[in-house]
Amino acid sequence: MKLELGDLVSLKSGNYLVVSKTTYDAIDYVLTNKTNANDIGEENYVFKVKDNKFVKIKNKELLDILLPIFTDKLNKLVTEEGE
Amino acid sequence: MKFNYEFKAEELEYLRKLGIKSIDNFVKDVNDKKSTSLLDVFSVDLFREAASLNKDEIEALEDSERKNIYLAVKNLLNDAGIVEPNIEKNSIDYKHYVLDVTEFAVGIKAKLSDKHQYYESALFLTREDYVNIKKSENKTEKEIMLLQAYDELCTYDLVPKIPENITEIANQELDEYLNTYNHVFSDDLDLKTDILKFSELKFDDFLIAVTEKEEYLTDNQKIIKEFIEVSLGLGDLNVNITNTSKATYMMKVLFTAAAFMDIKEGKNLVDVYKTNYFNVDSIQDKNVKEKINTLRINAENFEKYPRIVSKNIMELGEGINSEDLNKILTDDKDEKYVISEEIVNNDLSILKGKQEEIIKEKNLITEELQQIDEQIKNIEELQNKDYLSKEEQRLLLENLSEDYINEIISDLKKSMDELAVSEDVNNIDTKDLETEYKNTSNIVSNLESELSIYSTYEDTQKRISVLEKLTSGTSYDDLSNDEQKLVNNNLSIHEYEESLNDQKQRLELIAERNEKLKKAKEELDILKTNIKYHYFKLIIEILTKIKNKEELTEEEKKIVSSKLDIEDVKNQLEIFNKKKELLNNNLKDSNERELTIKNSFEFVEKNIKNSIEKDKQSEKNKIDKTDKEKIDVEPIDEEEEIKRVERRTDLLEKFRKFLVFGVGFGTGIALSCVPGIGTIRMVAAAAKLVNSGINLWTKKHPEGKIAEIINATKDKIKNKFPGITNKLEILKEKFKKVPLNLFVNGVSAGYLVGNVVEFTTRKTVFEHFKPGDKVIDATDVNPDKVLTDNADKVIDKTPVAEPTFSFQPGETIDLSNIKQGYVYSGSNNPVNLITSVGKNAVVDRIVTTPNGEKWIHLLQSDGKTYYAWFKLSDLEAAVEKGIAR
Repeated sequence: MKLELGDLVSLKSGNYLVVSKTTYDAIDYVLTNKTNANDIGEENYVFKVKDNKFVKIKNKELLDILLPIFTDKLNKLVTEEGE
Repeated sequence: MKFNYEFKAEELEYLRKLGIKSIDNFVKDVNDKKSTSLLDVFSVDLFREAASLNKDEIEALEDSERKNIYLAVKNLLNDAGIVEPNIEKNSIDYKHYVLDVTEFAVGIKAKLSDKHQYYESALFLTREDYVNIKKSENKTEKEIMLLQAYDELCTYDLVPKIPENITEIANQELDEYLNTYNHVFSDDLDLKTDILKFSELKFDDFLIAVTEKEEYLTDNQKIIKEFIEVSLGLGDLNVNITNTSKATYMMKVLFTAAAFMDIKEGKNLVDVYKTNYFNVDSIQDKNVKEKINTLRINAENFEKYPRIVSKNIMELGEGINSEDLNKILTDDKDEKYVISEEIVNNDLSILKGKQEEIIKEKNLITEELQQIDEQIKNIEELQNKDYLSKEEQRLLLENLSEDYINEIISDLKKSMDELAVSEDVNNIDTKDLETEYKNTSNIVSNLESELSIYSTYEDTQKRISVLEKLTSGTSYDDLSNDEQKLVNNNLSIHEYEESLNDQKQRLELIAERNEKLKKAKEELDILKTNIKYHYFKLIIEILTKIKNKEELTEEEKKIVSSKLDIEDVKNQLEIFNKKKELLNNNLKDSNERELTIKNSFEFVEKNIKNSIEKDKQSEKNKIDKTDKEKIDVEPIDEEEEIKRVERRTDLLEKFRKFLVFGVGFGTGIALSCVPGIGTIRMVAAAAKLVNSGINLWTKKHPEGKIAEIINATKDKIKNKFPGITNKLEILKEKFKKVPLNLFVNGVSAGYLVGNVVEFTTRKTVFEHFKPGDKVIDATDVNPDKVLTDNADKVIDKTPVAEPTFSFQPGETIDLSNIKQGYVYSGSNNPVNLITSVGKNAVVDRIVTTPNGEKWIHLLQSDGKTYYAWFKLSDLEAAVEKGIAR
């Protein structure tokens, strides 16, 4: 499935706003903000995107690799859209 | 003692509310009018008065109401652990007790007034801030409250009084410290050479030497302590009761340390200190600058902690809302583990060592007690004997001191003079005397035995008189009762006449025997005296032998011991009994200490350690579980099907704004294990959401465990780092407690921790009470990476620029290439920064952390919104490498 920044993905566990995405080791990952009603929430999660499914990433080592990548991308998000 | 304090009904009511049951009887009689303010009637003096009397003095009071109140206050103090020491009232320890009571009462008053934080802030007010606030014409309400609290603390000597001519005073004080410096530097003092031989000289060693308990000192620190107390003549720090003298003492210690360091470097810097102590910025030499900064930072600390923090007030603070306090204390996950493991293991090892020491001590005491019991038993037996066994004689003889022997000899000579014996007594052989004494004794004994079968001379006379009546015609029945008992009834006159003759003969015989007995006894007395004289003479000879360490014959030993033992035995017995009592007290004391240590050990091991172990296990389980979830393995339960996708650019825009403007800090991003591994937190987000910190905390820590960890923290504070090293810890805890409400309102622990660190270096508490400050929560950030690592990665990609920064406040700097920063000074946990807002960051301020590191705080380009903290050295390096410019 092709996802874009700003897509609100509905899962059984809640709604997740895609705020960043990247590809690592040929796998697509997204950083999402778990929304709270119509507002941003306090929890954020990384998911692996597989076909029509989201797989929550809980492995610390993998997250440690992905987080700096997402931080960079968030920086760009701020810069590109803020200026 | 005169009592001036007048109790008020409201005050009695207040004391009743505190749970003092013993005053219930009379407070119920008090008029139930509503108090305008309990605070108005609460008196610290009442507590001080009650505390200054012991229970007997209170019981002796005639005023029963006053008596009850004083007893109630006394009980309250006892409950709070403030127990009157059984010592002289003018002793230093007693004064400490009165100060404790005062602090406690002031603490209650502060609590009652709901202005606890001002009292706490007042404890830490610096001279400079005090004077500035005092001079300010437009004081804020907070400043007024702070000054009021400070002035009240001053009246009870809980904080030093601050004179307004502070500069002049400070210069005078500096001169005093420099005199000490010169004295150490120039004069020939004991132990000075020893200290100069130390491989390393540190300020901390000097401070610890005078503040720490002796048992915790290293050998070098012990030498330093002796030098300061004895060679330098400053005496024991603990004897200086007033806050001012304690602060002065500590400053002299610091300048002593500085002097030693300068001697090692061969430079007397007294002029440099004199000129630049209050103007550090103008110093060029980095080392000197650093040294003066250390002196100044410590000086400020001493000024703030004249009595190593007012613990009772703090404890009252804990009581205000312990639940919330617990949350703050345990919110820092990393710290919790450091404290728990380090402290618990260390404490257990210390306790184990103490247990072993006490067991050894007890064994020694028990052994000594057994020996003494044996000696006592021997001596007690001696008391009842005329002649002694060899061993008994040895015991006695060995225990006679020379002085005692001389005394006995002198007494004996005096006794001999008093005996008044005949002149030829010296010519008679002692053995002949003894034989004669024995024979005469036998004669006496035989005569006594013979006489015992007869009635007495007087009774025989009476009987003869009655028989004469009967033989002269008086009837038996006409005799008196007593007379009838002396004779038989129903005899003929003839029989009575025979009996009368017998009795008359017997009377003669008794008279004759009595005469003989009397003579024999007189003879025996003379013999006794002569023998006594001989014995005394012999004893003097024997004692002289003992004194001269000459060997005694067996006969002599018998003689001396049989005659001399009693007094000596009594003396010895008394000495041994006293010794026994002392040893028993020591044993009791050791037993109590052993029990305390045993209880502490069990508590630490069973409660705290187990709790930590469980906690660690639980964390480990979580990690193990996560480890099993390999990257390529897709856990079925975490896989979710996408139901629907909706385009929400409005939410994305909200998210973006949140990152940049929604919170104060340049938002960081970090992996959080809360509420479950996998959650990523925008660090600032937690702070934005009111109470989120508490919610997260609640999930993180199940009920019940917190109290144990708090105890571990307290143990650490109280036992692990007493003295100077304790101060920062205490302050840290203290500071965490003070801004409780701020925390509840959304201020995060991370920011508070930052303030604590900053506070210990430069600022006052008061400056940090700014409800509404935008802050972030640093408790769940990942400490895996540091700025320097990050900087190194970036260096190759970034062109080198000219470093032209001086890091003065207001200066701007581009930090957009530095990817990690910190949310508070002194933090070990870097966060990933939203670096785009780090462009044109503005230097806010530089602080020095307790370990001497300098940290710089930067604002975002608007000059108002917080950005992040960095280590100054890292930032300087980054500028040199062109990462920041």
